[in-house]
Amino acid sequence: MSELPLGADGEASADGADLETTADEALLRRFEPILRFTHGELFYPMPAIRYLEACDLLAGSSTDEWEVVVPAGSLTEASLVALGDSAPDDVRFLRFVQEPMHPLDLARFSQRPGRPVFSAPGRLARVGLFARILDAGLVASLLVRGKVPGGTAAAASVKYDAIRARDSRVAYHGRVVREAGWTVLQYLFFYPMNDWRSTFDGANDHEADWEQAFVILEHEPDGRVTPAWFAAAAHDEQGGDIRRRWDDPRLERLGDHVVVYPGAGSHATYLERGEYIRRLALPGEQVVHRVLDRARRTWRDTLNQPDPGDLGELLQRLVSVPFVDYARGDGITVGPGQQVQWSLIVISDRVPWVDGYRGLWGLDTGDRLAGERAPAGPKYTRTGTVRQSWNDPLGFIGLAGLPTATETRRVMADRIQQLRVERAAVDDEASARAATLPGIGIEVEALRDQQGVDTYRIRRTAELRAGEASLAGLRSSGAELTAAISAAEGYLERFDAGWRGDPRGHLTHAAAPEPPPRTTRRLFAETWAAVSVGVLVIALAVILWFSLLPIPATVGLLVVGYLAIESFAQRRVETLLLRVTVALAAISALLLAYHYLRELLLIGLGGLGLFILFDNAAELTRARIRKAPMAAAPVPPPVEREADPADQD
Amino acid sequence: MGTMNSAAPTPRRRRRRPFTLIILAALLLLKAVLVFAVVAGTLADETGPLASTLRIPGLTDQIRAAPGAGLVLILIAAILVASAVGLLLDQRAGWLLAMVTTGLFIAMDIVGFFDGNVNHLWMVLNIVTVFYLNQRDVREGVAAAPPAADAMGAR
Repeated sequence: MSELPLGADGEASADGADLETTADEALLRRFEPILRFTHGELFYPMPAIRYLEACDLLAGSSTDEWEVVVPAGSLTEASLVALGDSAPDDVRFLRFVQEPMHPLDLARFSQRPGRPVFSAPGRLARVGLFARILDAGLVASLLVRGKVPGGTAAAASVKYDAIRARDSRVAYHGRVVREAGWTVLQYLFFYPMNDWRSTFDGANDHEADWEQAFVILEHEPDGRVTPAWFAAAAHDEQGGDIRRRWDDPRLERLGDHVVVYPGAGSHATYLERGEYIRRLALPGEQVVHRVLDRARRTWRDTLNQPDPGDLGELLQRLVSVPFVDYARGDGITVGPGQQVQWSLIVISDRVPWVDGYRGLWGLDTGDRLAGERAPAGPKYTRTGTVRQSWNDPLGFIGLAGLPTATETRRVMADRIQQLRVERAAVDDEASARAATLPGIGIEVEALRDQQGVDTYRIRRTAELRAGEASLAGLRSSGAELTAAISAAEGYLERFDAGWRGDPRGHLTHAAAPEPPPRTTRRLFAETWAAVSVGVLVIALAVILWFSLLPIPATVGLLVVGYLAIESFAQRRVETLLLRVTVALAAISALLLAYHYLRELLLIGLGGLGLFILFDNAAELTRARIRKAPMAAAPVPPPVEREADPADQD
Repeated sequence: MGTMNSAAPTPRRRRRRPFTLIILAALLLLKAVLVFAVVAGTLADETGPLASTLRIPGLTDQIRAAPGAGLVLILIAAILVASAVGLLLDQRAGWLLAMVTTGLFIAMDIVGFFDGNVNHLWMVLNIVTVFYLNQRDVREGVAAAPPAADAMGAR
């Protein structure tokens, strides 16, 4: 099946489609999401085929050596597919912008009347100096990495506007997959350009941008479909954290339509309105987290000092690259009953451009970090393999291990039965093992005084020990299985009573918007944030080159100076003073400890010795006190009671 | 028509002062007394064991060389007394004053430690002062920190 032909009103029609396709289309329509864009957005979801027709097709042996295979204006879906796949080591990609905008034209473009004006507090002022240095490194890396040329986004915007003048549809590509009792509605949004870096100071630009959302339905016994989950992916995330239960109180819905917030320029799909800061994952982060958690508990609970908060999170924030995804939802809204209505384009494996083209959908810059390379199509990754979101959507959203609600009872009952069988087998094995052990044990006892059988006795003793360990393991497994069965039965009981658990219980690291930025001393803070890293580098170079100060003094001076300015900008001078004082006190304490190390050791050992002495003396005294009344007191009448383990001393 | 004023005015409940705050104030007063004693010991130029314990070696020489330094020390002692009184009156300014002066003392202690001109008893007192200044109930008492329940990641 090819893409559905378009009706006169721009809506998709199921010309010649079978009944299933019509049903799929109805389902897609019924649950189509509402997208609230950010004011200033330049690109909206469009029919991929219109984009394709405006591109040229390039191919070559590398991203530096290519030639135009099909020029712009001549490329069609049929010609794209007819060319087939490229050789394994060759590159093949579409190019939407043939000529980036000239700098002078770009200056005029950015000042054009009626342009959408985007305003945001400086992203660099939201994070610390270290993160700004990381940011400077990433920006500098663009000089050596492949990147989308300047003026591409502006040229893409002009070209996109021209396409929209001919075909104004705002469209999504829909697909329905039925699997394991679920019906997955996959909504794919195609944007001609990701202009996050050039328009919104984000991390990257690239031509072509595929984003997606999922509605997961389950079929009731009476034939009705019920929405169970919604999922939306941002920045190649996947797994349970991108999924929300339909009854999640933080999932915004208008009837059957979930409201989502695409990031400005990046189009990453967020489920809550707000601004999101992208964070880097640190190597060894969990170990660092554990150490910092322990330090926090000691500081707070043992030393009764103020809670410093989640130090791991603080550290992560310190080294996060400050790219802000603006998902404000204050721009155009697309969806049922909104300013702009959706056009639906049903796609599947049978659509030629979906299945027959594995190349990239935009300029291949050869960026090693891939951020500035265009993606492949909805079905394929950049390496030509099939995307998990296409061939295994349930696994992609972390739902492969969960049954539908209607299946839960049967699946859980089956599982309980399996667990019982497993426990019975473990119990049987434990009983058999327990039956054999006494024989070996008594034999080992008998061999203890027997001469000339040392080797045999050692072997039997080892056998006895192994048997005991095995029996202990089996009994432990039996206890665990019993607990698991009990938990499963409890779950089933609650499930039958209508309980469905915490709707957010499966979330571990769900994306959450940042709190609103502090606006105090904003001008100063933003100016300082913009110039701080550059000034730091220049100051360091000048001081070192002219040998104005020794290196440790230089570093110390710069650190203190920067801390003072940063804390002033953020109105945290008092916090800084306190922290400096506490740090100095710690250094002072260490110096004294070092100076009086012998005396401290002496005091410590003396204290330990005294503690042991007093403890033993107290025990001795208690023992004497216990004995004395027993000798003197009359014998009380016997009282029936359970044996107290303490009396056995 | 006069206003009805049937309800008796509720007496303002006085918050119990944290014990750690009292210790802190006592520490600051003790330090003020010690500073006075240092000045007195230096000017009297006594050689007894108490005076030599209290005397900071380098400071003693400086005060001897520049009598104006004695006045500075008296001023510092007065600041310590003022911050102790401020703390006892639950004034945030008292806490701030104590924090800044103690921070300066410790910075001078560290420099003095490497120069060999430091009184170790004085260093210990300053460290203990910082420990108490940063105590949760002290900071909450003088509104230098939000209450524990509102603090980020509160227990």
